[in-house]
Amino acid sequence: MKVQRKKLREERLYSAILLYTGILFICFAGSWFLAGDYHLMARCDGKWHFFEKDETCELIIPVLLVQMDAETIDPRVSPYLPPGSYTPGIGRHLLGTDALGRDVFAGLLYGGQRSILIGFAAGMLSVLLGWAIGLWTVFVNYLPSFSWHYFAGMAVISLLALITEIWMLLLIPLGMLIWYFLMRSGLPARVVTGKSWWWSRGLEWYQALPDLLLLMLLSVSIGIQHPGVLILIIVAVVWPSVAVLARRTGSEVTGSEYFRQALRNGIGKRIMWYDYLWANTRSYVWALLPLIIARVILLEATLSFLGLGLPPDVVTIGSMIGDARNHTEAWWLIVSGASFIFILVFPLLNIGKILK
Amino acid sequence: MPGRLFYRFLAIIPVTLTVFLLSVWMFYSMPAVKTMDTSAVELGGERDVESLVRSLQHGNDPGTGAGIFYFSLLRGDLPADYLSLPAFFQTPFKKLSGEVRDREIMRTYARWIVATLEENPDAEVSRGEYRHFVELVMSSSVKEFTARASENKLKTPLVLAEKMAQVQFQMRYPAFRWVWNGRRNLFHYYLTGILGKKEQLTTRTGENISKKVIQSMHWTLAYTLPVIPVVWLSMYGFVLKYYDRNKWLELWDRVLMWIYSFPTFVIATLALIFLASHRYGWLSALFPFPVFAMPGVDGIGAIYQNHFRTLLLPMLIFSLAPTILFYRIFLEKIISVTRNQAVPHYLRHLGMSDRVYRFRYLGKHLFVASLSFFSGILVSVLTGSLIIEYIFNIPGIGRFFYESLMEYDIVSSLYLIFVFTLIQQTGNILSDFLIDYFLSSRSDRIHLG
Repeated sequence: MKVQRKKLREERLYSAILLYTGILFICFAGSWFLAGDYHLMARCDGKWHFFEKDETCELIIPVLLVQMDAETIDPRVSPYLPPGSYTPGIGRHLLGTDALGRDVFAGLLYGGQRSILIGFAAGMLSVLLGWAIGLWTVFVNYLPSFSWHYFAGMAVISLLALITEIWMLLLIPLGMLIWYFLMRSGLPARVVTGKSWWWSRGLEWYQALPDLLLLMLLSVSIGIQHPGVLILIIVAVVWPSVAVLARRTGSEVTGSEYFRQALRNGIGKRIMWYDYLWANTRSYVWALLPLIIARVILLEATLSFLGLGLPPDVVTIGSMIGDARNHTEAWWLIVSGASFIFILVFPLLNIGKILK
Repeated sequence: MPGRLFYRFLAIIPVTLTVFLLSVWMFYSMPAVKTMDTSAVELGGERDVESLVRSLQHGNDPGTGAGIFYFSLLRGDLPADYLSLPAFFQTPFKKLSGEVRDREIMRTYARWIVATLEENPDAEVSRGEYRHFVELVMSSSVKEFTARASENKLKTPLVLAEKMAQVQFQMRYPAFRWVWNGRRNLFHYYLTGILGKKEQLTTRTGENISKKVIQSMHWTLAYTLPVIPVVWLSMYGFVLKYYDRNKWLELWDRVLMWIYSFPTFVIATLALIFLASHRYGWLSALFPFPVFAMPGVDGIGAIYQNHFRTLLLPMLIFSLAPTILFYRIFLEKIISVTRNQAVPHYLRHLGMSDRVYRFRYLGKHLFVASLSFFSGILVSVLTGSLIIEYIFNIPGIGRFFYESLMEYDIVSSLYLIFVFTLIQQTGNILSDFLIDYFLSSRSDRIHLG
């Protein structure tokens, strides 16, 4: 029975991975064959060219579905064409068109590319950063109470504050100094209950605003003009939840018998970090990664839906569904957007669940 | 325990104040506020440019001369009056100052800009000249400034341009200096306003913010409050009823995972279109189309009287997230209690009745497990779901926050950030306290029946 279950789980994992690879392939490679504002092949001046945009070529092999990419607005295409409509010279609109006459299928392919790229980049960065910081908060308990690390940290923060003009960062070294003197004064026995207490308060401080609200606040004040900025904003919001988990997992390792024995044996700091904390928790990272990527994809879509993501002329899945809210007659906008998000997120959740 | 609780509550003050300060800083110093809508200057008429300039001074800003905090860190060559300038004039001013390196000249220039913006009677810029004024102030080099000043023939800029050209020995200033702003700073202004020590803060449309927050919260509570106990009870009952039937539990788990793969905004938009739009047959007429514009409806009772049917669909959508959350918590707890522990088997072996085991033993475990999510639940009840309010046009607190952010209504946004931060932290502390109470200090409460 157990063997059967394991086999079933493995099969589900492989099919989820296969499905995901298929989506990636269609979005990244297949988009050129299915939809694009160029010809698949064209014979110009006696030579064959791939992905040629020149309309004056002698012989043209168009892309399979529609001669438009996500952002192309062509006066020949009417808005709100239902799925399967055909526009002469442009092609067949497999999933219809939106309010500006942009092809929805092309929007899904190109918007999907952006969602996947943002999801992977922001997801991986968040997990890396969050895990490193989370483990560090455990590791720091085994460092001397005030070592050169703190001075180095203070110097880096002060330098950052001056370069970026975020002078409020200077309050952090100030806070660390106050903490140090509190720890030495004897008062902390009741008020300051150790490093862990402070780290918990620090993470609580970071999570004092709900994720989405913080994301919206950052988006409005920074102004997202580039996907890179969006990725950084999402990382800034998502990493604390990863850090909390890493801290909990790291604490389980340091609470175990073998770790205590290793301490008694006098292991070095480097071995403690790599061979104990990292080596014993890295399997969680692989299980967490797909879940965080799925979460990031959903966050990005939500932000775009609210009009706070990438600029309005850039098509994303969220912005397409946002259009559907205002035009309830165009059901294909919401159905295709929703299906795409489901196909994108469901395998990730499955992979994460099985790995967990 | 009471001592620790006291310190936790005490920590709310610095956390809230620092989050608040950071928010003020973000609103006034981040890149989005430093870029101006240049299309109004390039394409708009004189009136457009004038109203743009006026809006700089008569928006929600507490006036000129305001740094962000009680003290500021400024580059050595910049005069303190630099802080009085609107955010997007600061960047070119800073570049110009870096070239001129004479604090006195730059101070005169900053004061001239502020006087012009304040419609000072001595100001030299008159109607029809605001386009020139904006172009001049956007100059970021001496050459550019001199060229524009001579074009516009305004007296002060011409004198300044001459002085700038005559600077031969650039002053040596320290790289940075601290400037004391006193109480005349943005943080102090907003904080005293929120705490009610000043005249009441108003939204951009002139409404009293405190009243608006209370009104919005009524709307939010109207669709969130009834949902949580119903969902909690149904999931609690469902898991306890089927705790020994894996098939049912797994099936329900799979259904919820399918739902979880759709973000809330997708489900809510789908529901709006296919259950309330009245466009696609009888199914789409199942719920009334959400229209909540009815002035004078205030208080939860009045809201239910007028809009209960319309609120049913938002309630249904809102219930999905807590359903998934409670189910997952209960399921994991049940698995850990029933499958990974020897105690339950022993209890059954001793002859504990199924009823006692189910409701008094397992039930208490589930109850305590749900407490760890009390903070999230409290926050979601009080703040609602921004997405649902946005899609169904409910004038709740989440929508209020969204609109104030979109309209760049800084006062309302800061007020709401303050409120949300307080709610979130109070929820965290209460959650920890309840877990401590039921698990540590009163562990005997989970007795064996």
